[in-house]
Amino acid sequence: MRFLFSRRFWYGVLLSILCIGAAITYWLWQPITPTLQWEALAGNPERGAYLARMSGCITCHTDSQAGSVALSGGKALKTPFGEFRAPNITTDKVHGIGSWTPQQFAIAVREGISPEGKPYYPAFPYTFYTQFSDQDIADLWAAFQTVPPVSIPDPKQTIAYPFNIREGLKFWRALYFKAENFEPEPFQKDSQHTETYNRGKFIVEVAAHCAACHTPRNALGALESENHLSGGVDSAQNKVPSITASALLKKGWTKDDLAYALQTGITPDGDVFGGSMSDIVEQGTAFLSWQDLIAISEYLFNANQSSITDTKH
Amino acid sequence: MKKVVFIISLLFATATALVFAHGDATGIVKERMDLMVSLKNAMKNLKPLFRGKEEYDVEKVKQNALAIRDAAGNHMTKLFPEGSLKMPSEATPEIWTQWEEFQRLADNLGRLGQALHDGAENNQTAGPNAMGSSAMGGPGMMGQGHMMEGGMMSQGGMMGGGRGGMHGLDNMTDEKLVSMPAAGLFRMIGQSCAACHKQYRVEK
Repeated sequence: MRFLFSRRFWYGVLLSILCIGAAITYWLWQPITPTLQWEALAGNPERGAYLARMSGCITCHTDSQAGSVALSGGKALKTPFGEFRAPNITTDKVHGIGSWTPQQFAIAVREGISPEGKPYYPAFPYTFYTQFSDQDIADLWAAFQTVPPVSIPDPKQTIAYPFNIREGLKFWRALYFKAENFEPEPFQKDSQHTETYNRGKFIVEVAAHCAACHTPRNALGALESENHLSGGVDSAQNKVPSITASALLKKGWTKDDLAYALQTGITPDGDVFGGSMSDIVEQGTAFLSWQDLIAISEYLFNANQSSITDTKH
Repeated sequence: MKKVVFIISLLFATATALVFAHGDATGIVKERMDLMVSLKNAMKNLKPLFRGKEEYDVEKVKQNALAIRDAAGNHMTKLFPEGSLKMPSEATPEIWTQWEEFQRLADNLGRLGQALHDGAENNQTAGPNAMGSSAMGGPGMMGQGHMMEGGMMSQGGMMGGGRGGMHGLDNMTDEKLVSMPAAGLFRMIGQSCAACHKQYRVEK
């Protein structure tokens, strides 16, 4: 134990700490090199636009309340870590994504990595979009190419320290996202269920990322998978209800009621959705086909916990 | 003795239940919560008529449209004196910092209720997608061409725009509103409620 009183020992400890700290800092500030080589497919812009509606792109990236131009930047998304604002994703070459390549777009959407190699905050739901197929990405890309450029700088983020250090997200990704050696794992249909159920599952669990609001989050902002769809808070910190099958049945919802509410915002008791759900209906689900709305209901009313938690977030 | 205790307990339980049934609301907060319930009931009554779940009944539409009109505009806003946030109120303080917008939404709801009353005979087919080809643009795939936002390209082509912002209502005359299909007006009433709820109601 005499070595504890040795000056040389403590110098060694200090040097080790400094070396480890330097290594971590170097790792954090290194740009992330995406591993995926995405081969651009021909995209269908109409299908892509429909998928963009379904996926909430227009809802989040448009400040409809302020009357902003579509996709030129969203309103504040309030979280315990600060206020996030979705950026301008029009085709403007300076402020939007006009100078991006299809490959960069694919990496941004499915891996959550910017063209500069920086990680995106998970307020951008790439952890859901990671299950988009190559064709989904190609269609989205084709749709975004039709958006006229809007030369508006990204809205200002107000994120609290230390969460405003974007590089720190590498830790988050290591904990909650398959960050290294990314390989696309597109949504797979469950052969034991109907086409309608599988379509609903794709919409709920991937594109529309319902769990982002309807599932509680832990202290680090990750979804609590064991409480999937059991209720959470929305972007304005409003209470968001549970949409598990048992909760929906308990509250007297039917599949038809739910589909209609997603189309119109009007609930079975004559109330109308408020909070962020009103934006989601107005900018998103109101545009979905009746068949897709029924598919959402079919999935939510029939999904059991095990089939839900199998999904990757 | 046991019977007396039982009766007292029963009375106490009934009184407690009555208090909680009204959510503890009192005074102005209770008044406006009751008004919101009347709006909700009117919407509930109208919904099956516009979904084709019940036979379309012009008189029933008119009656509920008037209920909406009479719960809107100043009838509604007078129940929101500044700072009246006593629990269990669901109002947000933004009501008073954005009073003009709140008043505008309340007034528009009244106009829509009146228009639905006056145009109740102008019904087109009901059903789950009744609004798909309506004047509101409805839930078509790309959401374009809705008269409320001024045309197809105004919001960035196929990728832009909502299904019809309620700001467009300000530019529509009452005559124009009345000429719209009743089902469209019903949907606009829903949108009007949503526009208000998302800004001025806390979801609990």
